[in-house]
Amino acid sequence: MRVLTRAVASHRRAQHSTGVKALVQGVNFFPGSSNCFLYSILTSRDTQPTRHVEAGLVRCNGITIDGTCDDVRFVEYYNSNTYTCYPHGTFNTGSYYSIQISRKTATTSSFTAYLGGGEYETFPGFSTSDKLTFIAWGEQTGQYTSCDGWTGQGTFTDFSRLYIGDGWSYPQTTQVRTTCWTVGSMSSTGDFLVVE
Amino acid sequence: MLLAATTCAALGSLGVGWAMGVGGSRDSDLSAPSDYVTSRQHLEHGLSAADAVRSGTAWMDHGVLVAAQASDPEASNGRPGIRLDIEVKGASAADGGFLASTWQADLAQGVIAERLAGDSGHLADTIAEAHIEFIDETGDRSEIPSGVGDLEPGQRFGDPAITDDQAKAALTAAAAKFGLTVLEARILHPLDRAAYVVVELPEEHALDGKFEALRHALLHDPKAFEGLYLEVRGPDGTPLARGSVAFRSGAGRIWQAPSYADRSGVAHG
Repeated sequence: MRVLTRAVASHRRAQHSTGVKALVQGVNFFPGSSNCFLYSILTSRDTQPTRHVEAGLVRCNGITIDGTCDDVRFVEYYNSNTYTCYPHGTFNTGSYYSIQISRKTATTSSFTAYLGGGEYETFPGFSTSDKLTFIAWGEQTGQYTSCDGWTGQGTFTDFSRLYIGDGWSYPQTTQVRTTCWTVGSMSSTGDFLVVE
Repeated sequence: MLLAATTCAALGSLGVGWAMGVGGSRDSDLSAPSDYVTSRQHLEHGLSAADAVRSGTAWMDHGVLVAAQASDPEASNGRPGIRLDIEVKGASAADGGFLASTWQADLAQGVIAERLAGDSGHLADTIAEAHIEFIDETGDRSEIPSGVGDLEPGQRFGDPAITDDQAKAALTAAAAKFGLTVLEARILHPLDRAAYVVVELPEEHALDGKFEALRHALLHDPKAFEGLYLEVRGPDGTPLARGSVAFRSGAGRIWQAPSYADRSGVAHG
């Protein structure tokens, strides 16, 4: 059977936005052994060298994200060389949490993560000319040869993109990427769910 | 004011015996320390920013710490606490080589946060912004992505009655259970105890899927170290993975060689 490098379910919005946000709810988390479930927002630089900032909710089974993030709201940065994670407090399954990743100005070459409205880490390396992808997704870490042995459900509401100067708006079109998961259709107010 | 490094970390010879682990952990998850202090007296808490930076970096290796400075954070940040800048130097930034140095900065950040926190302070309220700059052997500088974890103050790691030799012997024993040779094991003392460990694989696939299991075994359960730098080298001495954790700042960092990344067992987003 084909090896799945990563099991994900997402709505994606490509480039030009300067930020993304959603209210994220982990309905349940049942990761496979030595893996984690994440319901999160991600801003990804798609051109080499790739980078990403990811923020959301994570629960793990006998492991942690990057060594320190488990059962917490988290912010992770990847710079095509090293992953770095910071834990930002516990969360309750079934509760909604505001998650946002955005530039501070339209010309800023960094992205800042906001959790619950509070400002957290800022990460460099995202030029305004970069091709970026903004994602809200459910994710199971690790490599899998089947979709059995792990289940989960997450809900995203108010999935929005930011154009500084124009404010927040709901994406009119999105791409759906799914492996193992089912991704619900997105409402006019940016609501959808992911289920495995 | 920039503060220069003043002391070397403790070094010692390998010893025998092991009885680490005190009290009961508050949580059973992998992020839990071995205990929490009942009194924060030993943490020298409530220091001024300059004093906290000075004492919080005094334990760092000569040759690693270049400078550390506390200042006011950017007004736009809006979070309480200081801006902390730490400059460290070390081997090449390629292949995650900077992690051995930035790990000490991550640990120092946690010590400084503990010393800035008042009796009821929260660590995330003590440092609003943390910046780490790495200087490699050629003088090139690079900004290392840094943050401040939301962590409860007063974490204790390990039994203070355990000697460094005993701690190193335990690290060697834990690695031996994975069939690994310890090339280097050092104990540092940020507040409690942190471990620097370099292991070598007997054969290329000896640690497939087990990096995290090894890290967990080295840290002990409940956690006996406030931080761990773990470097795994292949049979030919080539670094395959470098991971650093600092539980008072919350920083977890991992670099993996492309040839090892898909089989390491490391989880990331």
